Amino acid sequence: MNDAEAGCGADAMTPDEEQDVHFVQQMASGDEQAFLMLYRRRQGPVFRFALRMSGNPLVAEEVTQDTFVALVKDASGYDPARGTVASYLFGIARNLVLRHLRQRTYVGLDEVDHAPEDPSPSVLDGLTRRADIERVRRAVASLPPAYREVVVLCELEGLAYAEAAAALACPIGTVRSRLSRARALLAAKLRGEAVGVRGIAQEQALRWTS
Amino acid sequence: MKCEQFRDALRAARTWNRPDDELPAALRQHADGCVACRDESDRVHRLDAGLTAVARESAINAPHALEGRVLEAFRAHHREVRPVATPSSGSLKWLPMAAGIVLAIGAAGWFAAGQRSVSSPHEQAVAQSVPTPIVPRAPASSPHVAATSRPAPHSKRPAALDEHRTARAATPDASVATSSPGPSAQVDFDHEGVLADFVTLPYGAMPTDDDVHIVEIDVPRDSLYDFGSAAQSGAATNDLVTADVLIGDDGAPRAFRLVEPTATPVALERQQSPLGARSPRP
Repeated sequence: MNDAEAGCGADAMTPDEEQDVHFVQQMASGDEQAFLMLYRRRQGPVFRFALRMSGNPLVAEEVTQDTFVALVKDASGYDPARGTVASYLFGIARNLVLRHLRQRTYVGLDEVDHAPEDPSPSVLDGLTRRADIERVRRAVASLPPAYREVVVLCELEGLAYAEAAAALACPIGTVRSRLSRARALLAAKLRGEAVGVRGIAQEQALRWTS
Repeated sequence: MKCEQFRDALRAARTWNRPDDELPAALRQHADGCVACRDESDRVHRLDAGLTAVARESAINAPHALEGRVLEAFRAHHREVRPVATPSSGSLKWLPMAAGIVLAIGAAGWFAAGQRSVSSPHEQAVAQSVPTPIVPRAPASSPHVAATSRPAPHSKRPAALDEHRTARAATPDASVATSSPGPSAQVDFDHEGVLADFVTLPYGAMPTDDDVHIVEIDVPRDSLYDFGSAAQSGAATNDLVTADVLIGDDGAPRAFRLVEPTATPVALERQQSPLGARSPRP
């Protein structure tokens, strides 16, 4: 689990995160090897984040490419004092994913409102089975973006709350509250309960306007 | 009431990443005796396990081909950026250095060209033609010796002899005409070949010591006949010719050699050489 109290600035960086910062500084001056190293370290999390957020491998690939190209074009836009390189990349990827999600009409609401993952009331009892793991994955994918992203970042990619807050450009408290709400939604979906349309719609409206 | 408190505490623990054993003891005791709360706690734990399993199962990466595309974008970006980079960027730091090198090469070339022009064959010939004084000029008051320091272009003076000449303080003295040392240059003779083109005077002997002097004088051409000089020609006999005369330590002339003919008939009467006087042409 994540350390909610962890900071996200340069002072709290791990050696790996400091190495990321070094790579960014090197690639800004044209160091191709530094860029390659950074890409190989961070492409996986960015791609997975984009995939879990979009549910589409092609979109995830495009988002991942655009994320690193954006970094290439504006490496100086990264400020170590504001967070890790990973959170910066997630922030770029998130904006790109949300742009994709806005361009198509919504997804999630129908799935969330009308499609319980499994009619069985005890899906959680069989999580050791691969099928049950897939259900959890689909449940996550069906969450509204505002909740999905905190689950993906904090629960699946292991970011600290502070890092997630930096990536999402929101306070840590918002991350906590959204995560709590997301977990409740996940638990309800996995129990086969229909999630209230009003609550999700309100959360999404809040998300898009924030 | 206890059930609601327990579930709130459970959510808060997850929200704050606190382990369940940090829950208040009273709430934990309630969960042990409450089936609904125990089930809720199990669901939360299973959800955690499920998310962890999903995170581990789906450790997938971007397609490998994407790396090449991104790398190409990186190269293209830096190809575009370089020409418009600011002077402070590393990519243009070579410009001042290159300019300096070009200027240095240009300056070196200009300097070398100047050196070459000075040391061209023509210039060297001119430089070598600058006369090196053989003997100090005789004072203008000297009645008999018209010493000159300008070697004739066709001078047969041995180079080795020139090299062995050392300037000696000249003493204005007309006694050259009477075999006394006059304006002279001391010559160090250590090579008999140096003297090969000197003609020994009848009363003298070729000096063998190293301390002899050489003076350059103008003498009437016909005065040299008696000494077997080749200076005889169809020219007027009153012509003056320049000759080097070796004078020994005792002041007596020992030998001479012809240097150049001069054409100063006006000075003939005034600059009659004692050599000519000693051996007048009949």
